[in-house]
Amino acid sequence: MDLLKVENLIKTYKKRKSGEVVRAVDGISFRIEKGEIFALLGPNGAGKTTTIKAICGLIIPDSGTIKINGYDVLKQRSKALKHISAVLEGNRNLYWRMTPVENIIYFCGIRGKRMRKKEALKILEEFGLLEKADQLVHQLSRGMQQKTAIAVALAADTDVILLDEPTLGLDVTAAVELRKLLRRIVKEKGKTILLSTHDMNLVEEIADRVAIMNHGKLIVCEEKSKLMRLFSARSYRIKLVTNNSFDLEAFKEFEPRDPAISNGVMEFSVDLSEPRKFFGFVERLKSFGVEVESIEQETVNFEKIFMKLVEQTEERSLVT
Amino acid sequence: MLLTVFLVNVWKGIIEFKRYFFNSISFVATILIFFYLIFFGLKAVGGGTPNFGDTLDGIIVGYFMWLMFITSFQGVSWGIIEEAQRGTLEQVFASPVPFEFQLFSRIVGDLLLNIAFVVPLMYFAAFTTGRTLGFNLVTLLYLLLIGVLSALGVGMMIGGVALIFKRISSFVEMLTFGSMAFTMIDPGNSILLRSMPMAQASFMMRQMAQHGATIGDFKMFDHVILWGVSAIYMGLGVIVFRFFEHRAMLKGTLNQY
Repeated sequence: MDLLKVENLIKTYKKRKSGEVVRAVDGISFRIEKGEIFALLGPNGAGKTTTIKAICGLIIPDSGTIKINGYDVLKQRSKALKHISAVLEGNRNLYWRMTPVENIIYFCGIRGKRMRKKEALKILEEFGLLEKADQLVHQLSRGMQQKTAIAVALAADTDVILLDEPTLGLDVTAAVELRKLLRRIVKEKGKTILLSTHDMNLVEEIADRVAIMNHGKLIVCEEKSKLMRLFSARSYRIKLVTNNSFDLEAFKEFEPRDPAISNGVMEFSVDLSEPRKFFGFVERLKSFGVEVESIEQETVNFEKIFMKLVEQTEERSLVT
Repeated sequence: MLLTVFLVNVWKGIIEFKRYFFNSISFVATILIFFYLIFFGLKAVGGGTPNFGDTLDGIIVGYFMWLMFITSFQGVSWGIIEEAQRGTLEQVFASPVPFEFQLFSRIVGDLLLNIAFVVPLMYFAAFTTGRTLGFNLVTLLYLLLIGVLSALGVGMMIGGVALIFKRISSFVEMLTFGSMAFTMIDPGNSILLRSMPMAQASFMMRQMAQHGATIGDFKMFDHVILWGVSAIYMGLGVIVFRFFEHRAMLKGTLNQY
C-alpha cells in the first residue's frame, strides 16, 4: 500500500532581483510504501528540500498532489499531517532551553497527543538518552541533540517519519549509531522513513529505495539493490601489459576513466553494461593485440552510482 | 485534543518563564528603575501644580498599561521571529493542529503570566511612591483582558509581516517606545486617540485607579470603544497574519533567517 504518494509536483519561485522564474521542483512523482526506507537524494539545489517541505505542508506547490495515507496535504491538511512527523533541521528543531523530556512532551502536545513523562522517558531510554533526559538540550552533544530530535519525531507515533539530513555534523561513531537506530525503528516499530541526505554511506547501508533529483526533476527512482547490481555489473577494471607508448585514445569510445600506468601495466575502468559493448571492447583489445593481465568487475559504492547518475544528467542538460 | 494543545502551550510558557527567571528579575529591576526616574523626574518638575497628584497616579497606571502593551505585543511578534530564527517555527507549523490555535494558546498563557506579573508590580510601584490606587479586581481584569486584545492584534500583524520581511526589529523597537504615547497620554474625547491600541483601556484604567470607577460606572460609549477597538485590532491581526502566513508558505520562507 502506498503510504505517501507525490504526483506531478511543481513548484516555481521568482528570483527577487532578476525576476527569473526558477522551477525548483519540475513535475516529480514517486510513491513510498509502508515499512520502507526511501532516500531522496540530489546535489544542492536539486529541489529536495522544497519537495520535503511541500510534503510537510510548509510550502504550497504550484500544482500536483501529495497524499499521505490517502489524505491530500493541501485539501485535508490536518488529517494528512497526523500521519507524518519530521526532523527538518536536526537539532535546530528543538527548544534548546528545554530538556529532551520536555521537548518530547511539548511536541507531542502540540499535535494533540498527551504524553506522560513516564512514556517520554521510555522513548529516551530506547535512544540511550535516559541519563540526559533532564539536561537542557543546549548542553547536549550534537549527536545527542540529533537523536533527541529523532526521538521527538518518533514519539509522535506517526506512520511516516521524515528525516532531512539526519547525520549532518555528526562524528563517525555517532553517525554509525544513528544508522543502527534508524534500522531498528523501521524493523521494530514498523515505521516508514523518508530520508533526505548527502551521506551516501547512510543510503548504502539503510535505504530500500532511492530517488535522485537534479534540477528539480527526478532522474531515477529505483530499488537501491537493483541500482547497485546494475552498476556493479557494468563497471570493470582493465589491466593491460603494454609498453609505455600505448595510447588510451584507442579506447576513447568506451569512455575509460581513472587511468594509471606502473611497471609496464596500464589500468583503467570502463562501463560495459550492454553485452554488445562488452564484446566490442574485447574485439578492440584483440585488434590491438595487447596482452590482458586481468579484467575485474569493480566493487561499486553508492556514492559512485550517485555521482555517475548526476553527471549523466548534467551532460544531457549541457547538450540540450 | 485542542485542550491538550492549549495546556501544553501554557505549560511551555511557564517553563520558559521559570528558566529565564534571572532575566525576568533583571527585567523587573529595569522596569522599576525606569519608572522611578520618570515618576520622580516629573514630580520634581511639576510638584507644585494643583491636582498634580492625579497626574502622578495617571502616570503610574499609564506606565504599567504601556508595560502590559509591550509585553503582550512583543510576546507575539518576538515569539514568531525567535522561533523562525531558532528553527522551531516550521516544526510547530507542521503540526496537524493549525498554527493559529497554537498561537492563541500561547497568547492566553502569556497573557495570564503578564497579568500576574504587571498588576502586582503596578501596586508595588504606587505603594513605594506613596500613592494609593483604587482597586477593583473585576474592573481591572475586564479592562486588561479586553484592552490587551488590541496589543495582541498588533503583535500578530507584526509577527505575520516578520514571516516575509525579516528585518523588522527596528520597527518593533520604534513601536515599543512610540506606544508610550497612546498608553500614557490622556486621549480626552478624541476618537482618533482612543482608537489607538490599548489607549481606551488605559483611559478607563486611570478612571478606576484615580476615581475608583467600576465597570458599571463607565458610559456605554466607553465600553463600545473598548470592545470595538480591540475587536478591530484583533480581527486585523488575524487577517494580516493569515495573509503573510499564506505568502510565506507560497514563497517557502517560514524558516528562512
